[in-house]
Amino acid sequence: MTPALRRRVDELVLTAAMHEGSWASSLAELADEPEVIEEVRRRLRAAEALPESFLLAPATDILEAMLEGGAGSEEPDVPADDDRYELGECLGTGGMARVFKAFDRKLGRPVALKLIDAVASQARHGPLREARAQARVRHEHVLDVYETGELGGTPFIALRYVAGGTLAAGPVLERASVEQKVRLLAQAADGLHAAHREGLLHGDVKPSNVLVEETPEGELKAWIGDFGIATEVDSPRAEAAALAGTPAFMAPELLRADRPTPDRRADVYGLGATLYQVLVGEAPPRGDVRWRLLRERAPHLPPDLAAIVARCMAEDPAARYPSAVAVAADLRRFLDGDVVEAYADRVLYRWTSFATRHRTLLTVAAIGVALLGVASAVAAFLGVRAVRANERADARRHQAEDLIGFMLVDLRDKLESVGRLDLLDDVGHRALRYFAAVPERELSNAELARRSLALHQIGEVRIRRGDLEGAQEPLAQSLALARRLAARDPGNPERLFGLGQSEFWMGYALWERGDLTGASPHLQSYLEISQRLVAIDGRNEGWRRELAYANSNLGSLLQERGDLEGALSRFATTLRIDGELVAAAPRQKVDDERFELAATHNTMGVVLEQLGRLGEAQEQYEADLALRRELATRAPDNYRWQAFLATSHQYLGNLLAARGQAATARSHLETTRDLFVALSARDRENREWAYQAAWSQVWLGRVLHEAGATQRAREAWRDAEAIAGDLVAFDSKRAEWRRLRAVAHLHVGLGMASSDPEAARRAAQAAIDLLAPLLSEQRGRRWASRWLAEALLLRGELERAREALAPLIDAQTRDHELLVPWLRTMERLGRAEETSRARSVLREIGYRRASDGR
Amino acid sequence: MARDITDLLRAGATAEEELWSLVYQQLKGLAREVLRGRRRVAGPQTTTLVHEAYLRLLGGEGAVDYNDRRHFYAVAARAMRFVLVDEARRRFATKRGSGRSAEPIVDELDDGPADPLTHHAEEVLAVHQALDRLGEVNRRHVELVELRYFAGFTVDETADLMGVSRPTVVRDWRAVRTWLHGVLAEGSAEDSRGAEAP
Repeated sequence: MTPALRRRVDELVLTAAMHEGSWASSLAELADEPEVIEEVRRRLRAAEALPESFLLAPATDILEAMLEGGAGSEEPDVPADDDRYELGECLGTGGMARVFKAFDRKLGRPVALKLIDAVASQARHGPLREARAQARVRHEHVLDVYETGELGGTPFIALRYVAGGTLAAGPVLERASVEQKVRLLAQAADGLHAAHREGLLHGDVKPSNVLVEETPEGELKAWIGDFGIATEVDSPRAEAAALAGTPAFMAPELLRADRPTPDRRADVYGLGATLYQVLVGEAPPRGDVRWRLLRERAPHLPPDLAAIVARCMAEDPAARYPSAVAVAADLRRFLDGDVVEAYADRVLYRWTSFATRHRTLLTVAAIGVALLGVASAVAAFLGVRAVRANERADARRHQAEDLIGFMLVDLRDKLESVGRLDLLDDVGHRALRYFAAVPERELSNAELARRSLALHQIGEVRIRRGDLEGAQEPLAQSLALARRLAARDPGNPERLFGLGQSEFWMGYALWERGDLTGASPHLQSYLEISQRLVAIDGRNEGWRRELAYANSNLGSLLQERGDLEGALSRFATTLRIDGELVAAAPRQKVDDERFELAATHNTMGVVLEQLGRLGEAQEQYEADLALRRELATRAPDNYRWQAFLATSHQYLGNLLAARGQAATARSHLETTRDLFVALSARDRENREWAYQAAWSQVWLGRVLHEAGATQRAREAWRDAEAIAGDLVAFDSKRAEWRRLRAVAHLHVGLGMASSDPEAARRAAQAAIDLLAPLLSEQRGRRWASRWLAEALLLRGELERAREALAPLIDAQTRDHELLVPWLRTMERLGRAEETSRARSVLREIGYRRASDGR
Repeated sequence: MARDITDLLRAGATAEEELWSLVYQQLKGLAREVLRGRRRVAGPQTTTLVHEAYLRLLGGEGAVDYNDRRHFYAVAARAMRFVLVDEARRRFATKRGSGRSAEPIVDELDDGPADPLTHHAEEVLAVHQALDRLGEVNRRHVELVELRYFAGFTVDETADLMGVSRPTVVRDWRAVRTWLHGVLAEGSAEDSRGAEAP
C-alpha cells in the first residue's frame, strides 16, 4: 500500500472511530479504492476487540515496572575504560551527569570523572562551559578541573578526587562538631567568593555540592564543586540556569514571576540554606524565613547562627549579606566568640521592609530608625550582647530579643490582614511587664526609642481591636517617653520623628474615642513635626509619606468639625504628595504608594460629596476605583486589596445612586456585596469582612428598594441585621458593630413600613435607642443624625427629627445625606419655604435620586 | 525563573528549543528519581511527574496565565513522551545487550508478552511511533494522547488544557484508542519512521 493510500486509511478509520455506530454506512458512501475500504474494514474489525484496559494506565507506569524489574538502580551503560583512565566505582549521580572515581594512569593520581548525560550535552549547559567556568577559579576551596575530553563517546570532565563525602552525607560529616561544620561552611563561602570574583555564579549551592576532605593532618577541608550550572553573571543564561537548581536551596527570587537577574546573593541564600541543613539535620524552611521562625524550629541552634542563616535566607536579596565573603567573615566571628553582624542589619532591614509594606506610621518609624547610624541603636544592643559573662545582661538580652521580635511584628502584618490582631494581646502584655521590670535609667537612648515605638505599637493593636481604654496607658507612656527623648537630643531627627509618631497615635486614640478637641493638638503637633522633618530632608520618602498622612489626618479632623473647605485643602496637599511618591517609588514599592493614592482619592471624594460637588466627587471615586482595581487584579490573593476594591465600588455606587444613575449604581453595589460575601465566606473568623458585607447589604438594599425590588431589598436588610446581631453577640463592646446594628434595624423597619407598620415602628425605635446617645458625641455626629432622622421619620416623630438635623443644617449646607432627610422632614411638617429651599439646593447639586426610602 | 520560562512559553518558535531543553531535563531527572525508587509515580500523596515539573519550573506560586499553563503542559506532555520512550528503549538495549556494558551480558531469552515490563516498554514504543502517523491525520489527537497517556492527566484536566468539553475528550479518546489499537495490531514492523527525540 502506498503511503498516500495508507494515509487515507488512517483518516477514514479515525473518522469512523469518532462516529461510532455509523461507520458502516459512512464507509459505504465513500466509494473509495477497494484496497482502502478493505483495509479500513480490517482495522475496524480489529478495533472491536479493543480491550477496555488498552492505554488506560498512564505510560508513566512503565517507570515503576522498570523499577520492579530491577532495571532502575544500575545504569546500564557504564563507559568502557580507556587508555588513560581506569574507571572505578560510581560516586554519585545528578540530573545531568554521573561521577566516577578513576585512576589517571598518565599522571598517577586518582581523579573524579564527571560523565555528562548524552541528552544534556546538547543542551546549552554544555560540559565545556562548566569546565571552563570552574577552571577559571583557582582557590584552595574550589575543586580543581584537570581536563575535559570524551570517553567512549561520552563527554567528561576530570576533577580533583576528594575522599570523605559531602556536607550532605558521609562519615566525616557525622563526626564533625558544630565548630567544624561552621568552619567548613566558612571555607566554602570563601571558595564561592573566589568564583564570584571571577564573575561566576554557582547557581546550585547545596550540601551535596560541598565536598569534605579529611587531610592527613586530621583537619577537615571543604571544597566547592559542581559548577554544573554555573553561569556568567551577566549572561541571559543566568536566568535560565536557576532551572536546574534544587528548589529547597534556591533563592526565592529565582522562582518568582517578576524576578530580577540573579546575582551573587542567590548563592548567599544557598549558603544559608546549606548551613541550616548541615547544622539542624533537616531541610531548610521555605518562604519567609525569619530569625524567630528558625529559633522555633531549631531551638538548639545557637541564636547567632540562626541570625546568620536568617540573614542569608532573607527573602529580599537586599537584606542578605552582600557577598559570600561577608558570610565567611561573620561565621568566623561566631567561631571567635565575637559579636556577629547578622543581627544589626536584620533589625534595620526588618524595619525598613516592614515600613514599606505597612500603611501606618510604623513605616516611617522604621525608616527613621534605619537612618540612625548603625552606631547608636545597634551598638547599644550589641553592647548588651557582648557582655556574656554577666547573667543579668543575658537575661535582659533575651527579654530584649523577645521585645525586638515583638517590635518587628513578624506576625502582626499577617494577623492584621486577616483581622486577627486579637492574638497579639498576650504579646503586648508581656512586653509591658518587661518594661515595668527594666527601669528606664538602665537603658540607652536608642533602647528607649525602641521602647517608645513598642509602646505605641501596643496601643495601636489595642485600638484596632476596639479597646480604646486599654490603649490609653501605653500611648501616654510612649508619648511621655518620646518627649523626653526629643528634649534630651533636640538636633536628632530620629528622636523628632519618634515624637511625631507618638503624637500621632495619641491623637488617633483620642479621635477614635470621639474626643476631637483633645485629638486636635496632637495631630497638629504631628503635622508640624512632619513638616520640619521634610524641611530637613525633602528627599526622604518616608518622611514625605508621613507628611501626607499628617495632612490627611488633620483633614479628617476638620471634616468632622464641619470645616469642609479646610479639610479639602488638606486632602489636596495629601493627594499631591501621594502623586509625588508614586512617581518616585521604586518598582517593588510603587503598588503600595498607589494604594495610598487611591485611599486619598476616596477621602477627597467624600469631602467633595459633602460639599455638594458631585461631579468632582465622582471623578475622585472613579480614580480610586481604577487604581484599586488595577492593584487587586495584579494581586488576586491579596485579600486586603480585594476588600478595598469592594469599598471603592461602594462609594462610587452610592454616589451614582445620588446622581440618579440607578442601574449602574446597583451594579457597583452588587459587586461590593459579592466581594465581601466571598471574602467573609473564605474566612469566617474574619469579622471585619462580615461587617463590611452587612454594610454592603444595607446600601444595596436601598437601591433595590427604590427600584421597586422590595422583596430583595428586605432580604438584603435582613441579612445585614443577622450579621450585625452575630457581631454584637460576639463582642458587644465594639461601638461600630452596635451602630451597624442600629442602621440594620432601621432598614428592616423601612422594609416593613407598608406591610407591617407596627413592626416597622418597633424596629425604628430599636435604632433610635442605639443612635440617640450618639448625638451628644463630638465625633460621628453627622453620621448619627442622619440615620436617627430617618428612624424618627419612620415613626412619624417629625419634631424630633427636625431637632436632630437642625444643628447641622445652615444656608451653606450642600450635603445631600443631610439635606434629603431634612427635606422630607420639612415637607411633612408643612414648612413650605424650607422645603423648597432644600429642594432647590438638591437640584442644584445634581441630586436626582428617585425616591429616597419610600 | 518563572518569568523566564513564561517568556519562553510565549516567545514562540525561537524559544522552542530552549524551552524543550529545560522541560525535558526536568522530567528526565524526575523519571530517574522514580527509577531510583525515591519517588512514586502516582498515588494519593504524590503529584504526577508533569505536575511536579510544573511546580519546579513555574514556582507553583502566583497566577500563571492560562495560555502559558496550557502551553507548558503541552510541551511537558510531549517531553514526557520522549523521556519514557528513552527509558523504554534503554530497557530493550539492556535486554538485548548493547555491547557497551563492561560486564558480560547474560543472554536472556525473549520473555514474550508474559513479561509485563517488556509489554509496557513495547507498548510505549509502539504508541510513540504510531503517533507520528496519527499526527498526519489529526494533530490535536496527538496532543490528546500525550496528555492522557504519556502525562497521565485525567479526562477533566485534559479537557481543561485542550480547551474543549469533557464529552469531547471522552469521545475523542475512545476514537483514538480504537485507531491506535488498529494500528498496533498491524504489527510494529511496518514503517518506523517516527521522529527521534530532539
